[in-house]
Amino acid sequence: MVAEGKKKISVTTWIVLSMVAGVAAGVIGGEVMANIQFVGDIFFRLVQMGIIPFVMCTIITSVGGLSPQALSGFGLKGIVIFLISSFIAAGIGLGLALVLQPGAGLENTALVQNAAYESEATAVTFQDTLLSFFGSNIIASMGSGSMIQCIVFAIALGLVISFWRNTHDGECLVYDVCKQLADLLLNIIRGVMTIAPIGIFCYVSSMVGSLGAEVLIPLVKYLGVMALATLIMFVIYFIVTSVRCRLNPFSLLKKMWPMSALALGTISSAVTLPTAMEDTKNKIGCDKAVADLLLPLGMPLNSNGAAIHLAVTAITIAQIYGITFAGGQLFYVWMIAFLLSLANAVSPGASLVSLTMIVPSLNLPLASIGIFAGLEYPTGAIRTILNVDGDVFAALLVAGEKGVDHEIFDGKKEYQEAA
Amino acid sequence: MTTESVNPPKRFTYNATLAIVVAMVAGYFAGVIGGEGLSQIQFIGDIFFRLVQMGIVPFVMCTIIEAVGGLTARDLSGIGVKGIAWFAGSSILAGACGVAAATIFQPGAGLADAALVQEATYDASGATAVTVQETLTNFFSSNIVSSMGAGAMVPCIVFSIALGLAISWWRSTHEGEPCPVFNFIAQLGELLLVVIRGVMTIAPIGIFCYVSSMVGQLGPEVLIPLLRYLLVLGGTVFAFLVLWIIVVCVRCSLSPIVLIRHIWRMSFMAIATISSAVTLPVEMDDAKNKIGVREDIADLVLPLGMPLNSNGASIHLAVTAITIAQIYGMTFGGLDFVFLTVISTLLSLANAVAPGADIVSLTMIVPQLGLPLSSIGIFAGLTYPVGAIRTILNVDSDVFCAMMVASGEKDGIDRDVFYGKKALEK
Repeated sequence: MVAEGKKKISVTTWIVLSMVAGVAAGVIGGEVMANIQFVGDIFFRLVQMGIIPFVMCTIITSVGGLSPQALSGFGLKGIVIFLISSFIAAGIGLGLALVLQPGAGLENTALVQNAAYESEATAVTFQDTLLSFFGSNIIASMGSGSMIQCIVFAIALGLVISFWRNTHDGECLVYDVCKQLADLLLNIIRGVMTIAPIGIFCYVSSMVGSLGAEVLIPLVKYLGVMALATLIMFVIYFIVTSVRCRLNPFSLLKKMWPMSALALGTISSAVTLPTAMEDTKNKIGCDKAVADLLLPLGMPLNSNGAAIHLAVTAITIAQIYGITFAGGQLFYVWMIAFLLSLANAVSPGASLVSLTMIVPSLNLPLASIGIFAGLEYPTGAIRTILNVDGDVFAALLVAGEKGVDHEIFDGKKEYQEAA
Repeated sequence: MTTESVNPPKRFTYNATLAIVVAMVAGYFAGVIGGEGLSQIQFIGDIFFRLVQMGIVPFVMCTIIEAVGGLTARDLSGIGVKGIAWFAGSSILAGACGVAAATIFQPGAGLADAALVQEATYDASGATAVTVQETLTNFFSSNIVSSMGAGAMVPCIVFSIALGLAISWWRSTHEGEPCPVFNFIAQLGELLLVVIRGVMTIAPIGIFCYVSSMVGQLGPEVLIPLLRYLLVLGGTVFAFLVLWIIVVCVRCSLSPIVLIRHIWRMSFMAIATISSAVTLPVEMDDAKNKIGVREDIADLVLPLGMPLNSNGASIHLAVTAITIAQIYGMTFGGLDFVFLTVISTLLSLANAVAPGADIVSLTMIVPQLGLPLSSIGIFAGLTYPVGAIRTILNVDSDVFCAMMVASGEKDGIDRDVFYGKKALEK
């Protein structure tokens, strides 16, 4: 695990280095650097080309893999908490980004003048927004990249597969195919991610070259907003969990430190999962059945950090380009950030992958992702901490006061694996 | 093979159907009372229909690939080919009869001046003059994924038949080897059907919203054509059945009175269960033991006919599509009739076995013709009578096809069994 962690950090380091180099090259090279933007475009297209089937297969497998046990009782409660918390997280991110305006003040820069954003002036009613979550032809939805429609279909198919597996001894060919396809597509994404530094260098250098270095100014503000949103979510979680389970919030904070540090180091919730499960049972004293079910379940389904990240980033990009969302559109951004957080790619560069999903869905220019590409590590770290810790909080909330062994929590008793 | 075994599905079908009828009646009154205001809830109906529709293209393709790919070398030779030829011929004829009857009797006419037509946003581009060559060319696609995305059903079905034939051939040359593509498609088709069935459980809500918003916007006279529509549909199916009986009796030189008596039980089952799958065991029993069709012919042709031969569905699709077009004041001409016949026949191959199968079929054909999907709402309450009419012809025509095949074979029909002089020896 240590070796793996080191490797991931080095990829991340490369990405940060390439961004710094890109800014420098852009400042020095100027307009000329726009000629290499296509290399960055190729990189992002390589990431994107398999995204639709990847998201659908991942959701079909994670919903289809739910057992009847998971679908009833505490599994169901956990899923409800996952959904509610992700929804709240997206809302907090949205609200903070709207209030603090991390992307404002750039309306008159070259960036905006060059952006070929076609605003849709059509009035969207509440009914239209809801209706647009459902596609009338799944192939057409996939073709046009309507992510929510694809996710709705994938959830429906996943639920049916779950029932099917239940009545057919767990065997389901469609499930197996989707599972393997998702793994294969993830490998493609991982492979493409190895050339991320090159793609990001080209994107950043051409952007800085053609637009000037002030493009990067809002980024500091942006990171601050994201961190603040995450912090708020944390505080809410700590208060709710401590009250519900009658735990000392400071001891809880201390016990969650190792897994949070690991999440920070690896920026991967999958790699952190074993540690999270161990600490939840051994240090916090959460009921074993609850922890064993909800933590793995939460890895794909519960991504509070991703929900915040998507909401904040989408609004920031819109502000940079001087676009304002209102009423039904804001609700749409909220819903799409919430739903896309269910479709997390488990790989280094996951935050970029998520952005390639949400940005086209909101009709924002894809090129804007390049601005955020260099922030891969800090955003990934903020996201992953909350993704991992959110799962633990959800498990504790489901377990309740009786489901947490206070003697283990207070360190009076060692955790014993049931024989 | 007893009638008792079908009770549970029968009761289930009845309840779902009843709920749909109740929803439609309630929606009608809500629309009359609420008026324009109810158009606010139309989106719930839209969501319901989109949920049904979203998986329709892959569902239809998987079903057809499975049905064609599941044919064995035995099916595709001799008796099987003859049976399939009769299925295809009779389904096309049924579609044509439906088109002709609906065009002549105009069940949807007389509303041309109503608000309905004034508001209809029918895209007339589909009605532009096309040549025979173009119509035929459009049955074939140059890119299957784009056809699927565009929801062009006919090219998708053509592709599915081609892939199904290839799978069938592959399976026969790789005897004993599993065919993962076939197994995957077969299972995906089943899973998508379960999705559609699940969505169908909320059909009453969706239909209530559609009917109430339609009646609210357009006034109560929307329902006038329904009675005429049912009469035309029933009349066409009846005429088609009579035609079948005459053809079969002449070809096999049998007494039509006795034949009607022998198909009576399965026809009644079809009405009661509105499911050709549930009726199949009774149908096979009677075809062999009462009509005297040779056992191997009945065992092959009848199960094959259940998915592949749906004369009733073909008539239903043709009549309904034309009725809707007439309600909206659209007229078809020349080659449109050919297209309607072909698409009705092809879509009858993809019957969803679910309560409300007729509504599912309509969500397939209506968008193909550029007609507004909300028009389906007014037909939704007719699920039971329409289903009964469809199923009788679906079931009986399978038996007639089997008899036509049998008449060409030596000892195909045992006349002693037919006239009750001998019981079939097991």
